[in-house]
Amino acid sequence: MNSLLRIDTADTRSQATALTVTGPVDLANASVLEQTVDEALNHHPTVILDLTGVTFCDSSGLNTLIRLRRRAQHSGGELILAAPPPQMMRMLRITGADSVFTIHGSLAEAWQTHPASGTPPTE
Amino acid sequence: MDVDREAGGRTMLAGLLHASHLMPLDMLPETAGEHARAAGFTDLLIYVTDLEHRELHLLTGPNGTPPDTPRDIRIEGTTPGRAYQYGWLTSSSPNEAAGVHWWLPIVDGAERIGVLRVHSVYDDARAREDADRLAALLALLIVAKRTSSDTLAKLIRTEPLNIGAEMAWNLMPPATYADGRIVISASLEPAYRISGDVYEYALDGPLVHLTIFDAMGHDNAAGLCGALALGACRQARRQGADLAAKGDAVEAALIEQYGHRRYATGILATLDTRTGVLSWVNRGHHPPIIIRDNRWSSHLKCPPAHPMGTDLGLPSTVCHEQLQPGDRIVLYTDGITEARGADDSEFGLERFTDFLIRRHADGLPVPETLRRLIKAVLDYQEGHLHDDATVLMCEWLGPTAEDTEPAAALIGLLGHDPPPMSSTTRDGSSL
Repeated sequence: MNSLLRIDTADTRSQATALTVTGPVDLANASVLEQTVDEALNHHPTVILDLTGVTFCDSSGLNTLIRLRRRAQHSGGELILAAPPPQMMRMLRITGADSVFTIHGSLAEAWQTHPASGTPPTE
Repeated sequence: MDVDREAGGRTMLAGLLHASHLMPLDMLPETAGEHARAAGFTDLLIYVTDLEHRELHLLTGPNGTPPDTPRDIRIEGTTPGRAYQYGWLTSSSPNEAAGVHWWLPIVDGAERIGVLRVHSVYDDARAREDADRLAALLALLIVAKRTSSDTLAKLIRTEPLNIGAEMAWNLMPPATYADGRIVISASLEPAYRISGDVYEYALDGPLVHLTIFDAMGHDNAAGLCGALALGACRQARRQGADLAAKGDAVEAALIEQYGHRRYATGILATLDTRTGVLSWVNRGHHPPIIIRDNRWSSHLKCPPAHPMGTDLGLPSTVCHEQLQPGDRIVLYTDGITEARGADDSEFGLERFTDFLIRRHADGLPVPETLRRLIKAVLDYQEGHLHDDATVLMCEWLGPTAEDTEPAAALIGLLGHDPPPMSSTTRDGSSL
């Protein structure tokens, strides 16, 4: 797949996996994120996205995150955002999405709050 | 003699009005020209402005362009363009013949349509009044016929429209509206490639509803989503829905159609012109800005509910703000503030509000301020916008619809003095 967006697995600890997202999360590339995270959610209820390397996020990107969050919740898991860059954070704040996502300042902080052995939260 | 002149003016208007019932727009220049002779006007030309308000384009009839007549005239830096920009009559003296050439703005309500040129054998107040009335009647006739005229639709574009633009321009009300209580002006760029932005205003007794939507994406689907959002919003409102319910209705329509695959952000607002209380709901959008006294601006705070179509479950909060007469409410989309310059920096909120404040202090008509704003944003991006950039601005003047003087001055209606900002004088010396 010829995409500017790269997604790598950073770490997997039992129920949770962390993916690093690098590049633009926009109309042209959001489908890559959707497929990759969707696949990860098949194996791990909780997915943490390290967004440090996101260069740009547009409305399509945000909508993909919102859909993936819903998908994770439906299967009893969670989608956690770590270190969204300022432009992305601004978008999350303007849309009010910052109040529904679990957002951490860094991947390390996300792991601390959601320990390795973490069992999926129940609804 | 004056009785003849009075009768001539009446004959012109009555004749044109009578002929207009069964007349395609294409015949307007020729028919208007014939009837205008009764008032002493010859060489009548009608120019209409394009979607981006950059040029004026000659409306031609079956006989084509008259000899030695420019088809297109720039708005910046020309005599006809000044009539258009400032809303006053400009004139020039023809070399050979007696009399005078006048350029008058053609304005429907508050919406600038184009300019009228006539040659007048008389150069006096009586003739100017006749010309004003002729321009006013032409405005009404053009507006009445434009929704069914491809001639006009093709004339006012300088490049092809995308499908989104063909849809959106037919959904939205005219770019300018004014009465004694309010002045509304809107702008949407790139005018030829619209994908998801849409604005609306609606007068409802003492209430003015103001809406701006930005549907995600930059494709035809975004345009459809914006159209659906606007339709759902109107339907709900006209069935009595309040602001929060209107947003919910849009959300329901989008989810039914797209199942969480598309969303729109937006502001739904209502201004009560009796009291100056602005009420609004923010659906995941940039908060409205209030500009006061040409120097002070405020970003209204209101906890956003989620974008319509995302179903995130955040509650809609209706917020209120007491306006003062003269306050301007500005709704906008991120294409304005996030326009990126050559060095990749954003046009930004501060530059945006500064521009509005400064131009207003210059005494420019509101529509002209927006025209220049868009030009500034385009220049900043070196002529190419990457996203829809929309502004909807509403100035609250007061509770009374009858006192129209301030509104007329703000939109640059003919008959008002040139704004003090300009050293430009009326062209020619014949007035």
